[in-house]
Amino acid sequence: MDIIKFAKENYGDFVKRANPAMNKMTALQTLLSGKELSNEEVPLIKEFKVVKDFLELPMGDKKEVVLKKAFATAVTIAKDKGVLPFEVNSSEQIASLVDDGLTRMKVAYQTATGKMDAYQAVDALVDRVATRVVGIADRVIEKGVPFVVDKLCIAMSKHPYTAALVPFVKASEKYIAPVAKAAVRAGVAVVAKAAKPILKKAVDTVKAVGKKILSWLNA
Amino acid sequence: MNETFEDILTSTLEVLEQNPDMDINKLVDVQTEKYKSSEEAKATIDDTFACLDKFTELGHSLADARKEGLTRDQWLVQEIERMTEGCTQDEKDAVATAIVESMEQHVESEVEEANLENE
Repeated sequence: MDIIKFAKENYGDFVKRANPAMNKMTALQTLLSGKELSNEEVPLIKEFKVVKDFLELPMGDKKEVVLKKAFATAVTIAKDKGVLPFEVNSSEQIASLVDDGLTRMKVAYQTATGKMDAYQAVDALVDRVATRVVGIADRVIEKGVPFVVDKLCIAMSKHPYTAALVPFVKASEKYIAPVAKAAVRAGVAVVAKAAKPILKKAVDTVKAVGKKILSWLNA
Repeated sequence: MNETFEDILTSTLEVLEQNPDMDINKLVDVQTEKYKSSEEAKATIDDTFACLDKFTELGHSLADARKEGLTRDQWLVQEIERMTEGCTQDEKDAVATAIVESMEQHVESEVEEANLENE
């Protein structure tokens, strides 16, 4: 898929929803479509050292959580003011959205810059899924929710924040320098191309693991 | 003032950029005061931070387990055992089933997204 088609199909929808920020969005859209930014548009694209440092840090570095908390703070304040352009309904969803979105961006960047290969990238994403799912299950159990599979599944499900993920990642992208942005996009393509067969194997593994876990617990 | 999400995110990152050693809770105080956030929002931020800390703690736990030679599924079993300590076998099974089904759902949706990216 070429970048212009990608921008039109994926970014256009976010632009429609983020109407008040149209000028800045237009600048980013220019960048996404591979065109040069005008002098007026350049200052609209923010570049933050804290975001670049986050992308460069090794996966799982203790400092990662600081940026995630900063994003979570902004998401919550915006929700409180009624200006969040996507829907999230709980602390768990906000935490999952931020963790997932920023991890995806970082994995794509590190893949494109040769810090990890496609297999490591997919493995890192599945690791984060595992820690989020266990983390949310742990919190649900601590809160005393009865052991009802459906309730746990709903609390842990990806679906409540899936719709928010794309606009969140797109909104986050503008806080990184154009070079890093290009690397993220290149990384997304590399991971996506490699991910299909690896993830299919991961699904089979997860299914097998499920049977194994249940038999171990029943042993 | 009629701020957008982008304005709020930009402002928050600017505070962090200008004060890289600032305690994150101080940053929250600065931003919630600036935007006159409700008490409910402040409580949500606290709870979200606790959730992010939990993810981080578990990420380190998984990394440590790997260093000790355990696989991701062995680590999962350990975690399920830990969080269901004192529960009945049925409760343990329910938690294990929920975790595995949820992971399966997440990973399958990743496959769907990968399919879309590859089209």
